[in-house]
Amino acid sequence: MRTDDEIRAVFRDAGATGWVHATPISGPRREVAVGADESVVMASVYKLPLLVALCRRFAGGTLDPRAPVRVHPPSSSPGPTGVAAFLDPVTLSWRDLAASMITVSDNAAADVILGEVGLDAVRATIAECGLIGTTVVGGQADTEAALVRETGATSAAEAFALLADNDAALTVSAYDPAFASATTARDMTRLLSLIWSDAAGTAEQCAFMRRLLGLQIWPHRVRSGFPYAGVGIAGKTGTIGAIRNEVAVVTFPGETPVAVAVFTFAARADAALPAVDAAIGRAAWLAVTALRSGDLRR
Amino acid sequence: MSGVDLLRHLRLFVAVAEEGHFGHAADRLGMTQPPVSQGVRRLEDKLGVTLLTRTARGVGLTAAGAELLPRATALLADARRFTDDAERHREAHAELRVGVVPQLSAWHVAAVVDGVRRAGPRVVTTVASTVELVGAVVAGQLDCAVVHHPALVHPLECGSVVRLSTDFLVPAGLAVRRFGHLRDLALAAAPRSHNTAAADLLLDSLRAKGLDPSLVPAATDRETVAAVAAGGAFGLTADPGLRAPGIDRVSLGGEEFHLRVRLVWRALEPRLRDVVEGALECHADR
Repeated sequence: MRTDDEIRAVFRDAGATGWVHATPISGPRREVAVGADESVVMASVYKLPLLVALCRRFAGGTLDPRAPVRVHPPSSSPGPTGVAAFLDPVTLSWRDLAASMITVSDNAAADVILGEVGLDAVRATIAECGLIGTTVVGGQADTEAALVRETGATSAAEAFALLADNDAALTVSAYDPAFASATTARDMTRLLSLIWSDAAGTAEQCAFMRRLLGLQIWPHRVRSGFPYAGVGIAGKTGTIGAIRNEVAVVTFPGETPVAVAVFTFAARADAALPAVDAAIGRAAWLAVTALRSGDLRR
Repeated sequence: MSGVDLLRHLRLFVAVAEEGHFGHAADRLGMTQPPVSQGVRRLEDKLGVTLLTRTARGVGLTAAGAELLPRATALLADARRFTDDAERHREAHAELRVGVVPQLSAWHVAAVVDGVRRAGPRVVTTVASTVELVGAVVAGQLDCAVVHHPALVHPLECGSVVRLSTDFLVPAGLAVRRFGHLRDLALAAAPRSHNTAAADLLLDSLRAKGLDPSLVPAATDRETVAAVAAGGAFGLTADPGLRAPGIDRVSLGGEEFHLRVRLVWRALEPRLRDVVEGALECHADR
């Protein structure tokens, strides 16, 4: 079976629709593509172009990465991780806010960074990186406000509970690439390749971005496909309702790193679907294995 | 051309030109000769062009008539295609091809079919798995389908989720009052390949109740009844009237076990969509 058909079968079995693009970050152009140019919802994957835009401010000298920022959690976007989970105000530097935004997908940190960098700068970064299929329309705060409005809920928590109800099967704009922040699987492997080839900013800033992505803590998606010692996984997940994504660079020792972007939309509304998370890992394994530069001949 | 039914008169002209004789043309058209001859004359008057030469030896075409005849034939052929196409649309409209999953009870199927029939169209019903039904609607082989939710329905349009009340079917005499009493039984249910998402949701819901049954494939109520009556399995039914020897029907609570269905379509009149969904809704559990 062809790799792309195998990947489709994996998603079908997991009860999800999937979009995948994988390509080595350098060398002759080789790829695995499943709906790679179709528009998909980013969810927290939007924090990746936001990180690139922030690092450009650092490199341009218009924002000091070490400058202290005061964050007041109760008035920021709620979230389960990082500063968003705190109760009391904290002060941390811009670069540590970036670390929290990327390593644990901190919503409060991302909103503070987006407030400083601005949507226009994010859009300019996207254009300069040649990501023609990518549009960022706002941050987590905007997404949640729209969700609450559309579901008729009184809070973000209530809106997310409705989103997880299999009886409701809601159609919300957060699920629609025409309204939400959207990209394509191919755009995201392109952005990762630029970061890995020091072309998304200065070499110093690209190294900083690679370090943060490598520190991401989630083991359930792309990492679950590569539970091997010595294999580096550097990525960013994105999750909202039935949408589960991860874009990552997989590095086998001594081999050319492979960028892989996986976007999914599950049939079930349940907040936890380990089968779909595992399917993302399996799809990434199938795609990356087909593209590895090491000697895999029998 | 006001006052002249162009297509009707062209039909007369073409018949006479092709037969070369007014009488033969009248026979072919099932008319008498005078109205045929008068009709062609009226057409010539209206157009201000003589189309036919009338001599003792018979009827011929003038230069203008010869040039216009193929155009008249083409117009008539196009008119026929036009009405044929309209006919096809009317026939398609007169028949609604509906797919249903086998889990939908005979009772609910009848409610859907009866509702659509009252709305006008004839109904042709196909019973197949969710995966097959979605494929058939995508391919245009069905107009719409009632599928088991949750399911992969991309790229189809879908209606709201309708929840149909279900009961558990257990071997008679087991005195099943709680989920724990099902522990030693297998589950008779549709094969996972019929719809992995719905099958996994059912299994997850049972696991949340402390059960992890092995699966006996049973796509229909009939197969479920056979497996349950055999003694080693329990099943679920959304048929409000299902009773059978050797089987007890028990309600264990738990709305998560109700049958969720959803109408999917590619292009469907809102009126018919409402009829099908209404038929499901009015017998649904809300």
